[in-house]
Amino acid sequence: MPAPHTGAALGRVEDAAFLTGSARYIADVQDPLLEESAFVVFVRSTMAHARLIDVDANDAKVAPGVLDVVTGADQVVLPAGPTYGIPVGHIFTQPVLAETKVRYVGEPIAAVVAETHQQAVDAAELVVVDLDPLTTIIDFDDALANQVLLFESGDAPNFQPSAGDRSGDAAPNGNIASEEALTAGTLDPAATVVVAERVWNPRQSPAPMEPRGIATAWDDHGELHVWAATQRPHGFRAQLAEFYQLDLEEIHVLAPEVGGGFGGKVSRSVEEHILPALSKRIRRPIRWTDTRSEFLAAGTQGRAERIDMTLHGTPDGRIGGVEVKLVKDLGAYPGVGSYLARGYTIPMACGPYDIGWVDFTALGVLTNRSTVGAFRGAGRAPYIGALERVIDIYAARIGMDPAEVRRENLIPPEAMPFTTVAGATYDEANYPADLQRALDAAGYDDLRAEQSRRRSSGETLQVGIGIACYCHKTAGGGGEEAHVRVRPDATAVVTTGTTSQGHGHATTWSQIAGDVLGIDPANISVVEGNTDAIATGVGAVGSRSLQTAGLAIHNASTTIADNAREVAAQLLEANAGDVVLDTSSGSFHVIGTPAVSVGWVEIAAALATDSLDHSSTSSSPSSEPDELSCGEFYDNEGRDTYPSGAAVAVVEVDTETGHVRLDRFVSVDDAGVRVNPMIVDGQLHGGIASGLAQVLGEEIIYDDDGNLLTSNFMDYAVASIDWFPQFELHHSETASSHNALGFKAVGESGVMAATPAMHNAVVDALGHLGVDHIELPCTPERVWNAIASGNKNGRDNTAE
Amino acid sequence: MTTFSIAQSLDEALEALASGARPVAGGTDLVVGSRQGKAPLPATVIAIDRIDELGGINLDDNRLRIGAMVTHAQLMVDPIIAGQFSAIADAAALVGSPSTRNVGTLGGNVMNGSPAMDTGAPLVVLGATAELQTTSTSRQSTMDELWIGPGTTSAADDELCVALNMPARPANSGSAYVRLEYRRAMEIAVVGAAASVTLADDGTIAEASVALTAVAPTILAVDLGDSIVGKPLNDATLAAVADVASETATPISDLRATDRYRRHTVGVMARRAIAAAARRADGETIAIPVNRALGIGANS
Amino acid sequence: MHQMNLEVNGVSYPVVADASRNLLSVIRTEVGLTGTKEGCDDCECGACMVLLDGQPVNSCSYLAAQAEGRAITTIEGLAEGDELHPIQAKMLELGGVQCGFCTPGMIMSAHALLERTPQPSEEEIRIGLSGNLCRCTGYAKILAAVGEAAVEIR
Ligand SMILES: Cc1cc2nc3c(=O)[nH]c(=O)nc-3n(C[C@H](O)[C@H](O)[C@H](O)COP(=O)(O)OP(=O)(O)OC[C@H]3O[C@@H](n4cnc5c(N)ncnc54)[C@H](O)[C@@H]3O)c2cc1C
Repeated sequence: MPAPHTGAALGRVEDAAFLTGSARYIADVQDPLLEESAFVVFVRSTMAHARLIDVDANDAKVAPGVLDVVTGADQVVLPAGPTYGIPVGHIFTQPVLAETKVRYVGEPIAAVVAETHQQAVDAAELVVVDLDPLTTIIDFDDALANQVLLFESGDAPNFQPSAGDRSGDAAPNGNIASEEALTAGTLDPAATVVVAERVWNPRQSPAPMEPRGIATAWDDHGELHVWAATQRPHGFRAQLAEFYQLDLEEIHVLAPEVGGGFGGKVSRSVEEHILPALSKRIRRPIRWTDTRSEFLAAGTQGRAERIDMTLHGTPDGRIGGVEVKLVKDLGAYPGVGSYLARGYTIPMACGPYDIGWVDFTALGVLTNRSTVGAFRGAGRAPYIGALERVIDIYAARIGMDPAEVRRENLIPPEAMPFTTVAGATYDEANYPADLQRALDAAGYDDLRAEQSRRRSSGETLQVGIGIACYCHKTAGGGGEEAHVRVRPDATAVVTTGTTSQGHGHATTWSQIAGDVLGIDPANISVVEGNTDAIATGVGAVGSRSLQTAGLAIHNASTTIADNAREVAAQLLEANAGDVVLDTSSGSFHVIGTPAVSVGWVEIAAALATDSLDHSSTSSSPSSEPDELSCGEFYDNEGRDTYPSGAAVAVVEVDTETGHVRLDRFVSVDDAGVRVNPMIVDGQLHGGIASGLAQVLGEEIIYDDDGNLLTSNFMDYAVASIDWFPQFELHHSETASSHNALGFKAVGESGVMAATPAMHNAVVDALGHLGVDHIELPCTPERVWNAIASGNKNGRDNTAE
Repeated sequence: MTTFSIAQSLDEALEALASGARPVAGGTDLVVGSRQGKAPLPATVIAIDRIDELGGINLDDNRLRIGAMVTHAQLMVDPIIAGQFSAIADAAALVGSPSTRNVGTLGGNVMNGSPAMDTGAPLVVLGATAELQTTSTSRQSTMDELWIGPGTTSAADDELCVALNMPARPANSGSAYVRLEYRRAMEIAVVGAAASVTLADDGTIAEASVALTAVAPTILAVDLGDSIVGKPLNDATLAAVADVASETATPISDLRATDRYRRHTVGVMARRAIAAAARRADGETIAIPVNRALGIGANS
Repeated sequence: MHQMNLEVNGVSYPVVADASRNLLSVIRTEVGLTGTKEGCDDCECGACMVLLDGQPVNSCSYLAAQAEGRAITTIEGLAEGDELHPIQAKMLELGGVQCGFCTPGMIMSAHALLERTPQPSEEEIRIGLSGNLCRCTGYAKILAAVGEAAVEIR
């Protein structure tokens, strides 16, 4: 492969194993330490909110093959449970097995360990759980009313006051677990047009195709070995160390191939935390994988936001300010969800627009549902969706084309880097040009002409055109470490703490290192997901690996190349300053005389034999010289990057049934410098599909009693291949000044404009019928209701 | 513990049923149901998918016979079914995914008796009967007699459905099945409608029938009254069909749709089914399945 | 316990297992081929797709004992030695793999499709793969890979 590799759509170096079925995921892992593994199955709550009266495991304990049955009363792990939340607002802990109360359907109550998985399943059915139901909190307003509390006086130690003062044992704000606010800027007095809309962003499951899974074993030295389908091996190790009072070095976490994450595998669950204790009790390794229905019920979920948007604008299309009241359902035990408003949503309250005033409040409330954690686009996609929706409503109100309103307000390229009133500093991009490109590529004017033709002829199939623009905050979570090592045979190894769940790191990292070292990416191997291989790591969350690990790899490779140049200079008997690395051949030569060169093999040999003063390189060393090995930590020092773009969606709505069909999806995305355009496209495609599915029907639904109604892939409609047309992707590639390589990010970008563009398109198709908003997902019934009743949110208001 | 065998002949299967075994055909209801925890696998299971007598699609002058083990994949491409009994092919082509259609059978669909089953409404409008056999008896049951409630049939435990029979089609006839679906594969009907139409020489509707999916405890035949028979096909008569279908329906509300929405859309589906059936009766070829050809409920 | 003889990728495996066991679990455990995946409980995701006499079947919901006497093909049976099958090669070239978990099932469905329909339209590819869910790719590159593989095979 010719250099430079950056920018080349290389096939992925890691794919052969995936394609032939030899890749090993958690359920496939084999290891001597895992021989004779037992299996655990959890008995889960069937009620959303109840007092736990009794758990009778006597029959289960004597069932065939059963090795152990544990309940909350056994207190197998102390402290009671892992800290679930990131410490903002208040910290709540969930007991590894429910002790006095259950707070969501699916909460683990007992763990049944048996010789085989089937025996554990069968025995779990014999555990009798006595629950006394409590009033269930599902509705947001019920939660906010604080009449029924999920954590009441006497429920400690579920709750820990965040400030260290233990004055009361009930959560001070009742069901309100987090509270954030920002008021900034000044509202333009000319912004006399005020539009308001309540925009719901429904719950979703991250739903990676591989559910969760973990295997644990203790070795003879009392050290803990963990194999986990995780996005955060190092973070998980740190949690386990704290939980089990072990040193980090005593825990070895290995992520095998991970079948997708999307925020669903951040390893904060009680199921994952109890396994080591269970293993210790029976002195055997234990495996756990959850079923799809367990994942949908008890895995973390995402979104779940109710956003009340009020937009103030001038009559001629200038957005003067936004007032936002966001309530996020955190589920029963708040997790990373309680951090999202502070960390992500509020800083980007202006979206890609130059908005002069922001008045934002965000509450996180507890409800009797599974925890809301991360999900592709967390803390950003729902807000962008709400903002883009209300902009369309504003455009309709002032009788302006929605494209024109956006053009009027997008931050111009010459203003970049631009600090918004919300305090975020956006990096380089050309938002207006990207919008224009998307409109041109879609043929916006022709689409509008077709729309008016169908409107006037009154056809059954009406056309809708939706536009959305976005930018979003990425690269949070601090820096990443990387180690690069060139081996004596001129191959290289890159080790990072971030880890891939399908992101193609092995290829991208090889391209970055390959460009610096002049080594073919095919000859570079990548080690990830192994806490023994590298000391620290954050992981692939929040679109951050490239701008952190990518830089660390680049910098480490650069150091090695510099070291090697010194050696080459000696071998070539030249000044180091005159020696260059020809990255296309991987050899060093004096400027102007490429014919005489030395390569990595000679350099490694010279270093190994310490023969630098003689130019003999004939011996074949096996040791790996330190000079060709480098570890770097790259800290981005909070310089977030803001990938951005614009999209146009075209839908047809069957006005007789409300059925929506997506005809086209056109987007222009600026992911900064693209290392592997093929991988970038793939990331966009996946994000787009996920975002569109939220419009078409993907929604986690609970009934009023907190029962999960969408517990399989029939009812929880993950997008299938027949839902979409071919996506029409276009790219801008503006280098970011927030890091030396111009990287931004792409992992979550596809989601951002997809949902609002299609959402706006559905509403737009029915604008002439008086419809100005429909709730997500725009199911046929909701759309039909909106048409039939002129009821703007599409809810069936005749049923009551 | 389950005991399992594979029947090599019809007699062997009938004997097994007589001694309490339950048949498995493709298993796409039975085995999937047990995996979902709906009902455990029966204690004794006999596979009936390799019995020659239960296969085959045979049309003679007055009758079509479809072996109970004919799969959806076979039905959707069979020239006789696709050409003359198109509603069945329309339905078979919508079932599940290629793998569901590959092993899922007509007999299994019928005997599973779900109110959302797709081949049910087509069988009703085409006047089908189920041929039920035991070691000692054989009888024909109308579909109406067979399905007595959601997931329940009137067949005795030892009765095996060996075939579905229906009269040959008169000249100038066509049929179609359409369903409203949220996505195209791995989906069950929100509502559906099958229609059969025979045109008179003057182009008016000589005969018509409509049956509905997923709007009642069982597949529902619609009494069309004088809404369309003897009349030309036009907006008014089509609207009348939609109305009578909506009025006949007694749908429930569930996660997927409310009763109100089902009632409305089943009328739309009935109208579209009649219109498509009439086009076919008139000699037009509309590709199987009509859903995709008309873009009903289909994305992409 | 039920005795059965399963022919997987041309090799015959005698297996003793409860007759209620599904084909997926027997292939993964008794036969020991773990390329076929379990992604759901009820036949919805297609990660478990194998071929039975060349036709796709959700092995998670098919009785292992019922597969006796039929030729079972799993992902491990597709490549010839080190040589990737054209579908596999195109998936690599065009980026159809991300996390890889749906990949084996997806390839098995694609294989059955191309055997049945050597020159599929885009619509036919969509239908052929409609029983396989993928969360990573939005299907775009898979669609392209299968389309190009068809051309390659011809
Ligand atoms: C993912 C998925 C999607 C699906 N989508 C659809 C769909 O879109 N539309 C639809 O209608 N169905 C759908 N189904 C249901 C199912 O595939 C069909 O009903 C199929 O036709 C069942 O046939 P089978 O041969 O697999 O039946 P089996 O599961 O083998 O049998 C079903 C029942 O009938 C009994 N039985 C089978 N054959 C006979 C016989 N000859 N005589 C007496 N009793 C018998 C069995 O004992 C069992 O009780 C879907 C199923 C799945 C898993």
